[in-house]
Order: sequence, then C-alpha cells, then structure tokens
Amino acid sequence: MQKIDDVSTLVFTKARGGKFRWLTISTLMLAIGMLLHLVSPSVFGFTPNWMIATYCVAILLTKPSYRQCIGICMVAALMEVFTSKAAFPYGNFFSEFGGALVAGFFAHSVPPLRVGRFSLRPILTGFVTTLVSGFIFVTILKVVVGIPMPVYLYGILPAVAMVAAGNAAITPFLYFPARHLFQTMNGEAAVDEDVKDSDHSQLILKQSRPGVISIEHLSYTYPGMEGEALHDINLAVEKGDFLVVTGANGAGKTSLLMAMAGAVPQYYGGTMKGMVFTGGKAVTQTSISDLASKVGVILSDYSAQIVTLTVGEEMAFTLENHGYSPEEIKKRSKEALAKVRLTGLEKREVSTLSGGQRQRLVVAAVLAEEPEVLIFDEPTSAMDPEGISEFYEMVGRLNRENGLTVVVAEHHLEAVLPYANRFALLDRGHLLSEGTPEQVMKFMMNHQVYANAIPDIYKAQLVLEEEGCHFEKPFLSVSDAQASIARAVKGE
Amino acid sequence: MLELQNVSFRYTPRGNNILSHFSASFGEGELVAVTGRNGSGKTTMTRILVGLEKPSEGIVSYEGNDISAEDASARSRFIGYVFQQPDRQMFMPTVREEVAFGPRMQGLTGKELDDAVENAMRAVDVAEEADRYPRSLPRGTQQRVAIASAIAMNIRYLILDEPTSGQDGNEKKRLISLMNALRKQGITVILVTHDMDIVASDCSRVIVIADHEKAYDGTPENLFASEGKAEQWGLAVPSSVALGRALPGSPYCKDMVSFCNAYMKLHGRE
Repeated sequence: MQKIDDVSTLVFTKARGGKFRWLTISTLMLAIGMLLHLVSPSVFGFTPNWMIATYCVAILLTKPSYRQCIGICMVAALMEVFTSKAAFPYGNFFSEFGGALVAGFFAHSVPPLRVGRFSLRPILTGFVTTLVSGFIFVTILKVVVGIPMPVYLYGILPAVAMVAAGNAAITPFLYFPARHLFQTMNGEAAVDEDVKDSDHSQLILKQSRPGVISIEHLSYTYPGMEGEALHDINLAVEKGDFLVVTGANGAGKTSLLMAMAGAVPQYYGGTMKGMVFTGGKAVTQTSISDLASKVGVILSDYSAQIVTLTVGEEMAFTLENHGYSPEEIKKRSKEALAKVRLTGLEKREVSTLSGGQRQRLVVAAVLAEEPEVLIFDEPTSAMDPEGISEFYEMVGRLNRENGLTVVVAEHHLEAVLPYANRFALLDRGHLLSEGTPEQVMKFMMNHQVYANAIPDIYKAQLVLEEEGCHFEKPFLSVSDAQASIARAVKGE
Repeated sequence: MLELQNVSFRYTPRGNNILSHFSASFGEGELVAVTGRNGSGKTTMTRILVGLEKPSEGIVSYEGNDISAEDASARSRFIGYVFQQPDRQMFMPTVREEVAFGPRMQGLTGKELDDAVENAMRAVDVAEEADRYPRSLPRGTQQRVAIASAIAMNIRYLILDEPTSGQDGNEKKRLISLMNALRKQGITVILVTHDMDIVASDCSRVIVIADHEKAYDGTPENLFASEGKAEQWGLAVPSSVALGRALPGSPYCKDMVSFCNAYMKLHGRE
C-alpha cells in the first residue's frame, strides 16, 4: 500500500462506460452475425463467414481482455455448431478459440495501420482470423472424418483462403459503420485509443482539509475530448452548507457535481487529476453505489430517475436493494415522503403526478437512503416562479431543519439567495470565485463573468453604489431592497 | 389578422370549460405575452390557435376566413409553434434536414428549398451547427432550430412556449433580439411565459388568462402599475417594478435601467 501525500500528482484514467459494454456490443454483433449467416447468399459457392466477421468487429471495437475474447468466441462457436452443416461441427470450438486469440492480438497489439483516412486493420484482422480459424477447423475435420491429403491440400485449404479473402472484404464494411455509430452515440470518444483503466485500490489517500466533501486539485477531461472540463479545482463543502455552484452553460457545473458523486470519473471515464473525497472516502476507491449512501443526486431530468409505477414502489425500490425489512421500508418511506410533503400518496401512480410532485418524489427516494449531502443539478430549469419558490422553500427546510448539506447547480440565483450561505463561480472549467453570495456576486459584477445571472435587484444596487449611493441592507430580496430604498430616500 | 372569437373549450361535452368565451386578435409585427397561473388555460389557448385542439364553441379566423376546422398541418402554412422542450419536436439527424423538413412537405424543392433553409438558419444564427444532431445541442440552440424550422415555412405567427425558462442571461438576450428581428419582418410573436421581467421590459402587449377567461389584454404598464392588480391573478411582479414602487410617486420602471435612472434623478444626479 502506497501512501500519497500530495494528491495533485495523482492521475486516474478510465474508458467510458460500464464494465459490461464489451458484452452488450458483442452480443449485438453476434446476433447480427447469426442473421447474416442464415440469410447470406453464396458467391461462386462460397460464403464469407459472418460469425467470424462480426466477432472481429466486436473485439476491435471494445478491446476486451483475452479471456473475454475467448468467451465471445465460444458463444460464436456454439451458434455455429447449432447451425452447421459440416460433418464434424464441434471443431468450431477449437477453431474459434484460435480465432479469439488472433482477433484479440489484432485488437491489442496491432496499431491501426492507416492508409490515408482508413485503417487497414479490419481487413487484416478479418483475413488472418478467418484463415487461422478455418485452418484449424478443416484440419480437425480432415483428421476426424479422414479426408484424403490431396483433397485437403489442393481443394479445402484454398477454399479456406477464399473464405478468408471474402471476410477480409466484408469486415471493413461492418467495422467502419459500427465505429461511426459508436462515435456519434458516445460523443467524440475515440475508439482507437488504448485507455488503460487506473486502479487506486492500493493507495492510501486522506483528505487534506475537513469537510463532508473535499475537492483537491481536481482536473478532469472527458474521454476523447481535447480541452479540460475542469481545471485545478479546490473546494471544500462543510456540513450544513447550502452551496450554490453557478456559471454559464458549459462552465463545468454538471461535471463538478458529478465529480462529487463519483460518477466522474467512474461512470463517465476520461482522465482525472487530483482527488475528490466524499464522506471521507476517495471517489476512485469507492464504488458509486457506496458513495450513494453519502451523497444523493437529483438530476435535472428528474423523470428519468423514476423507475417504477407508483409512489410507494419507487420509495421501496432503493430500500429493497439495501436489504431492509418490509416494516423498515414502510417506516423510512413514510418519513421521507413527509419531509417532502408527499404524505399519504403511496398508492398514487407516478403518471398522475405533476412535474413538481415527481421531482419531490425523486428527492424523497434519495432521502430514504439518508445521505449526508443532497446534490441538485439545475433543478428549476423547467419550473414556473411559484414552483421555484416552493421547491427552494422545501430544500431550505431540509437544509436547516434536517441538517442536510445541499449543493445546487443553478442559474436562478435570486431563488436561492434566501437560503444559500455560499456561492462558487465556475468559468470554462476554472473556479474563479468562492465565498458568501455577496462576495461572489460582486466578483461577477466587477470582472463581468456571467454577470447576467446576478439577480437584477442586486445588480441595481451595485450599479447605484458605483454612482455613489449608499444602502443599509444588501438587496438580497425584493422586500430587503424596498426597505433599503425607502430608508435611503427618506434619509437624503 | 389571426383571431379567436368567443372561443370556449372543454374536453368532454359535460366537462368544465378549460377556456370560456375567449376573444383576442393578433395583428402583424406584435410581441404579445400570454400569461397566467399554471392550469389557467394559456397553453390550451395556443393549442387552439395552432389547431392541435378545435374549439367547442366560437371560431378561429385567419384573414377573415373561418379556419376552426383546419388541422394543425394546414395551419402550419402561416403559424409555427416551439414547444417548451424543443427536442420533442425534432426528429431529423441534422439541423439542416430538420429545418428543411417543413418546407419540403410544403412542396419546396431544389434551389428554392436550399435557399429557404439557409436563410432561416442564418436568421436564427444556427448556420454553424447545420450538420449537428439537433438533440445533442443545448436547449437554447434547439429552440433556435425550431424557430428556424418555422421561419423556413414562411409563417406569419410564431408561438413560443416558455422559451426563457432555464436559460441563462445571454441566451435570453439572444432570444429577445431574435424576436424583435422577427417583429420587424412583420411576424407576430406570441410568447407564453411566466417571466414577468421580459414581459415588462420587452413586450408591448400582455394577455392574462385567469379562471379560464381573459382577465386582461393591454400594456404591461397598465397591468403592473397598480399594486395588487397582477398579484390577484397569481402573477409575480417584475423586480424593477417592485423597486419602482418603493420610490416616492411609485414610477413605473419597465426594467432595471429605468429604475436606476429614476433613482438617480431623485437625487439630482444623472
């Protein structure tokens, strides 16, 4: 175990997506291969081997480990055995074993070999894999069935070469469109780059300052992206804080919030430097589901977080996953629903709830896990003013009365001013200012960073103060402003 | 001239009226805000204008003709609609194809079609994103793509449903200047919104729907000048107006600049 004193030197890289992406993509490719295999017409009596072509594509795209390659190819072999018309189909298990190793070799150890814009690798992979696989298959066939040597040498082996040539031709036709689809669906994540997943499990990491969340020298780049989404962020969230993270769209607010929850980098992949400690644990050493017990996240598309049909089921869902007894589940559900003022609605169907109620349901479901921190990503983007003030009234209450630490990414600063004790301003990945709401808003005004978000009332105060006026109380709400103005007018 | 004449709407014959005896007319080049509490009937009113609902009583008329029976697709020749979540109305793989879809359905082809699309994209400033997948764009940009789709079909009326909610200040400013540019071309923009700040600062006319009826149709100034008038219908008061009320004489301040000027005037400093 290695102790790290300076976390700014840490680098963590990971490919995007879950651990099972290779499995889902391979399954899809093999299914396609099977269909093509069954309907494929033959040209001059030869058909390319579609199963081999599709598993080559799957392996080149997802770069699984050799063990995983063998797994994929054994399934392909099984499918070939079921549909084979050969005299001894079981040779497929051996041939595809060899094919797995060859395809894996091409995926891991052979560079893309570009000619112009196109990589020659798919053609070579298709050719060599089919050649090796075919060779093994027909040799076993020869031995088992007793094919005469001349037929083997001058008839069957050339046939294998022809099929290999056929595969060399079709593999790129499958590979490039699949890769293009991959890239457009995954943003710009490049497929050719070899990203080695880092492993921090052997490191001893301790946060260097107190706080329920400590972000230390955090820099982060999404996979395949050029620029950093976050650069050298240092921020500590204390227990009981109501922290508002603000900044223009694209400044990095969502990335920062996802880093607090551990989704960056564990789910999104990419490269992370520095470290984030949530609930005392380093996010690269703890699984996202463990972090979920410390930090509850409510996304801006909250409907997407609801997975069941009724309110009661949604509340029970997370709790069942934690193994609570039915009585415990009922009790915790009731408590959580009461906190968000949705008491007694356990039997209601989610589809009959209004948007605001659904959002409260997600909050309740998150609260049922009793996290220390609630993280909201732009919760008010689609709300009317009444809804916004009701929402923050609830969140403010959870913060003050239930002691929950709250972190919110928000544009509507006037809505959070009555409740927030801290602001943090992000701009293009950099943390420009952090402190009390007034300090940060003054910074925004003076440096003209995202100054549009400064509530109009406060901005008016700053403008008037610049002209030499003076006011008793800061214009943090309409009533405060009106009182200060009335007093100032009377006083003059 | 687009008019609703004594329109009532309910979902079932014996159900409650969502909209009752509603009349309003919309001329050319106006920027009209339609507001009211959630559930007041404002979205229903716009849906009736567009043809997604047909009035239970009363008629919808355009240029003097009764178009109440016309479907939304027929009305799309002169009226466009941008949903609050614009990605729900987009389905083509690139912005250019999305904007081209409407005019193509109207029968435009070849160079005419390309020109209409290019002009529309340039008018809303999405030409740079022409080959991007619309649903991967930020919401503000998606709205502009939806507006471009409508402009490309040469609409005279454009309805925007809550276009500024969730937008940062820059996007709001951009949207407002786009709406003003459209006004100058004679297009009338109908804005369903809760954002009273925009209503006061940029709209020349506001319609308030309360209790399923038209409660107010006039200037924002008249609506906000007297205390309690807007509040009775559940509307927030724009912050500049609220501050103006704290000054002696309660001058009407349509935006913060007006307020600051009024304040400075009071102190003899300009």
